[in-house]
Amino acid sequence: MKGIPLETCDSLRHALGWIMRKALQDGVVDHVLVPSRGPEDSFPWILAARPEPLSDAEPIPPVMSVQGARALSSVTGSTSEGAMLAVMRPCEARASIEVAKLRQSDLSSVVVLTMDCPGAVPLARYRDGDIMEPDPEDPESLRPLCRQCTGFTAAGDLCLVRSGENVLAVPLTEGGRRFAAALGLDGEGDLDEWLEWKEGLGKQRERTGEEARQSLKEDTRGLSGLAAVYSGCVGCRSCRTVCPVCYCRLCFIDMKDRRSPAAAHLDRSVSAGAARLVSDTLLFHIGRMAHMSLSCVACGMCEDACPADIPVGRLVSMVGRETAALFDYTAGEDPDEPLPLSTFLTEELHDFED
Amino acid sequence: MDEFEPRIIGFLCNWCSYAGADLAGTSRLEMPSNLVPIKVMCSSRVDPEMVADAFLRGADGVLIAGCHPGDCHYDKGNYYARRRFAVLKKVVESLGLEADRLRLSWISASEGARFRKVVEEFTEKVRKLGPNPAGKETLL
Repeated sequence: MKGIPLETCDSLRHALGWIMRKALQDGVVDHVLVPSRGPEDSFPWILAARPEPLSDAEPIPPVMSVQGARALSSVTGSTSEGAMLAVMRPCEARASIEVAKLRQSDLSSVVVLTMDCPGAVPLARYRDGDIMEPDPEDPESLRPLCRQCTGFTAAGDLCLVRSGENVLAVPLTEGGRRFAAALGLDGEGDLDEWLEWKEGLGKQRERTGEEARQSLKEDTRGLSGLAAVYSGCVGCRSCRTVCPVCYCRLCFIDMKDRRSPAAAHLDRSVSAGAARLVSDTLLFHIGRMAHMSLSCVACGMCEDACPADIPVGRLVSMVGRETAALFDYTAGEDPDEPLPLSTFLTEELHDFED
Repeated sequence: MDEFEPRIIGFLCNWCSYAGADLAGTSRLEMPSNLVPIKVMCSSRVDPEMVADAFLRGADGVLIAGCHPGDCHYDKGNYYARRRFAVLKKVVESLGLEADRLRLSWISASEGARFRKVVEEFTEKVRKLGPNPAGKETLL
């Protein structure tokens, strides 16, 4: 595997900025979608049509303010005009693929540019002024799901990576190769050090994740364990709102017809001794897992949004690993592989039939 | 103390399994009365959320029954149903809940006897599992 060396760039940020500006200036794309530095240490996404606004661009913000796939799907409807460059983290690129497969966006005229991701700081810690930058040496500075992320690089159409002291562009798709060629990037550079780093960190993260999932599983085991974990849920549904793959305009839990009648709560209070109100907390979370865990890319956005500090993202992604394994599916990996629930084999899953 | 009588919710597809249940009835086959049938147009109409809802409201067992693979009235609904059911069952399993309380069976319109067998088997299985703790859990 070889990359294209970007010799004039000394950092990933520098290289990302240079590519964005060049792509707009040279007319390779008409728009650039990228997070920018806003007031009060915020990082709103902007869609730039001219190079000037890109001076505020922050392609690797310390926090994930809005999931990039969500930003992208809002500008890539069925009739997106012109070519677009979207600069985002690998998990956002993976979510973008899921969103496209769910037919909520169209990536045909989009080039997704990613980078070696340093991880993101938990939003609450950042807001408190506790941690301002992710420290790759200190997992405690990262969000819990970032600590176990194994997809921290090599996503999208083109990925900018560090191999030793060098910055290189690694095209991952035909679109990425075309984009690099249109920018006039060429040459071949060694990726050995990057590959070694990727494998080493990947293994370490896999171990961290294994341990974390195991202990989460013990904590949440059974109905009472699960009820305890979700007992602080305030019912804001923020986890669903910020989730890039939860796209339904009307969620099952909000359907008027399926709201439990008062009589059901009164009955339950008699039969169980007491009934939790408002009801259906666990139903919401389990229903959500059944609906979308297959497409969960473990971006951790839901967990950042949860005001009650519930490990929602770790739970959904833990479950998602197991549901996706049924179909040997990896969310966000292959744009051409159908979503597991939109296809079937006539001979399969016989263990589930009685 | 009264003996535990399981309450099982059965989602039966209109074209095969509901007709199979009907045949069992008109053939006067005796079977346990623990299953509460709910007619759906197709096994794929059953959103996992409906199963989870029944389960969390304390149903001791939930059965989804549809046409045999290859025989779906809508051609391939039951294949989709099988995938969805597998996902839900895996969710339930990985959360450490009792996945044995969920069952998917294929019962054709001519299989009155099979309908009885499924109801008998499932009722006995659920009877052994005992009451669904969700019925007594207050913080759901």
